[in-house]
Amino acid sequence: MKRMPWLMLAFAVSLVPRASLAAPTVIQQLTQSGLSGGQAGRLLREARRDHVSVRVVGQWAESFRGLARDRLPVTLAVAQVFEGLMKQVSPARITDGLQVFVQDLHQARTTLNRHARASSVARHPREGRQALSDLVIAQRSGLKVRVLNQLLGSRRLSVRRVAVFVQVAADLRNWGMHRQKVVGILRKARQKGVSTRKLLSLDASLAQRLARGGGQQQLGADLRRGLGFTSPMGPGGVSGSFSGPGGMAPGMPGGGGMTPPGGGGPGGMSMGRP
Amino acid sequence: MVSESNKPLSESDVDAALKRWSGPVVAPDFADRVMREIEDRKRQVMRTPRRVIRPWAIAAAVMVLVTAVLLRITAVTSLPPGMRLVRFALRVPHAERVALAGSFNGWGHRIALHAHRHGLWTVKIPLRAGQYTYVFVVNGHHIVPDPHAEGYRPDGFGGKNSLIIVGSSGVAA
Repeated sequence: MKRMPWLMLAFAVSLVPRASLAAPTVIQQLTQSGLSGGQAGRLLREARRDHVSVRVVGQWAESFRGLARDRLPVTLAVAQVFEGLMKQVSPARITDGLQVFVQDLHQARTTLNRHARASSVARHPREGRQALSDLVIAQRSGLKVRVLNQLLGSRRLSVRRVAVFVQVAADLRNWGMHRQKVVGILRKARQKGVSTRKLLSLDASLAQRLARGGGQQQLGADLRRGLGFTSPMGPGGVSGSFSGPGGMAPGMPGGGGMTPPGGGGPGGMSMGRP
Repeated sequence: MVSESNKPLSESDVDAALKRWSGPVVAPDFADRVMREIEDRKRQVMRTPRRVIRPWAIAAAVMVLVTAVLLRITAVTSLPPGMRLVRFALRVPHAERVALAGSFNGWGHRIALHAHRHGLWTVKIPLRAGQYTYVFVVNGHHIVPDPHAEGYRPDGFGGKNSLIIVGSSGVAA
């Protein structure tokens, strides 16, 4: 009979949801890992909504803390977790994906430090973050370190130039171009000093062309022509390539990019044809 | 004209002066006249709006109103510099609801698409120049990449995201 109050107390404690007890600690862990209060709150809310255990969120927080310790951008990893939660990916797969992402991010930093000027990285933190993100995507797209080293060469570049070349390489790779071809063309563009603006413009034009149903076979030829490289087959030798109105031509005017349907008016940019 | 003399006033003069002072200072109908004046003024004030509501006044008011509305519409529809309105569209004939999620808002809240005829769902959102990855979410849980995307990227979870390149001078977002 004497033990009764203690038993009742133990029973009451067992009824308290563990999450509510652990939540402040996890929030603390997350904020100590470099997340803002708002981000930490949102992460915890979404994790709860998807019935992710506090232990798993703690593991994520640990990964974030590791990144913060190594001075790598935590925001990229946080976005990865939010993406997983939004897509209702299982917590275990999000954790695995996060681990791979963290490894890729470390590798990306090594590559960036190898190819970008340290002063440029220090002066442009936002673009540095961008370059890291692009390098992770490139790695996921099958452009391994050796290939990226070939692409970026031995001479150090600005952080923006690294980001743009890697981004365009990843796009070309994801459009199905062979990695050696990607490296070959972009290495030549780098050596010729093609501007990042022109490269991005070309990238946007190719993307539009493909979204409209353009074939991927002519991608290499279109890219070479857009960059102003002479075709090995001579003038007009590339058969089956895009031509006519809207066809890509050497010295294509900058602007490029997406054009509003109907040729004008504010906004109205269209994608995903109905 | 004031006349002055050094002759001292007699007692009867003082009494007469005091009698004059105690008499009424204003005319007996003074109060009535004041009240009439007030009534007249009031009527004038009441009549003024009727005088203002003339055709030219109505036209001026309408013009001011139209200008204000136009200014308001311009303020709402004009985008901040560097932003573009991008249209996302997906054809899903039997969907109950379709939403958009992507890197443009850090994979945060889903943006609902509007249903049109023949199963077409669309939404327009303002975006800065750059590259964005996104997916459509059909009926709240079914993740669908855009079949007409400008490209695709592996998402790190075994799936793929659709790619959109907005403008031509930005880098990925």
